[in-house]
Amino acid sequence: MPNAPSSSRVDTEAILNGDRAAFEAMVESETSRLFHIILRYVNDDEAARSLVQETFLQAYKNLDSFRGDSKLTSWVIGIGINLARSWLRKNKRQQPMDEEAMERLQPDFRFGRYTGSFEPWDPEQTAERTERKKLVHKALDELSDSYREVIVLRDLEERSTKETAELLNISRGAVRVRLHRARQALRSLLNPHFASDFS
Amino acid sequence: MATFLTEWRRRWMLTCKEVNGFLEAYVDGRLDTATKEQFERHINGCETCRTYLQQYRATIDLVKEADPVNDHPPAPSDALVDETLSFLRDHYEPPTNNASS
Ligand SMILES: [Zn+2]
Repeated sequence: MPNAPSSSRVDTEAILNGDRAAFEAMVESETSRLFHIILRYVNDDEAARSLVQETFLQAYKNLDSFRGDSKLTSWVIGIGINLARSWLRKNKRQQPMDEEAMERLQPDFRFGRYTGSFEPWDPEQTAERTERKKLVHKALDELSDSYREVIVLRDLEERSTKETAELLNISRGAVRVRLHRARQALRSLLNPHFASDFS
Repeated sequence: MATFLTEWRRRWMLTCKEVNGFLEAYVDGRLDTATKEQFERHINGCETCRTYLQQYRATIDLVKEADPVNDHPPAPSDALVDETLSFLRDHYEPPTNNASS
């Protein structure tokens, strides 16, 4: 099994043997990455900071449940994602869309052709930058977790389909399908704001 | 004959629906050469699919633009590392096998 040079500061074996210094070295090397993922997930600075701390604490306390079927750092990120999910559930959102609502935001086809027509977008002309961001976050907030998290991992974190699949414990096919459906739903939600016709 | 026609159509003409099904792979650069050619041939001849692709890409760009990490100075991380370490030191279980450090 080759050692990944990218996580040179993570001495998995020492950590699992209870070496606190080794664990803290991992905290130092992984904090920033973990903070970014969680921030992208919850979009709340304060919450992200304390979730990072909580993630490492949970990881430390549960080291004996690490099974070694993924990298230790991926396992830690998985804990972070779970904590971010439950934070969102408690703190943030209006009811996210169910599968039926999601389906309505997908394009319709008849005899292989789109039933609707589309106007080109010109986001820079139709809304200011801060306004654009607000609209996007509002749309993202409507997505359910399973769609939102593939957007976070694939489009923001720019992780590969394979990594995303491993982190979320789903198949690569599921990652692709969800990503596509999530983007299409966002497209529908944003369309009224950015189609040049509507300006 | 029908099979031949279906096969011919499949090889030379994709429907808009099929093109839609390839969008994620196309944007990801994952289509094989032959399929990519078919995809692009369709896009060149179909304004609806061309506009849809433009919106699909713009959606991805807008999501990236709205990335909360963009609003952050590159290194709040040093302070956060310190906070995290002292948080952990406050919460570690007392060592079970009297190894004092
Ligand atoms: Zn078309």
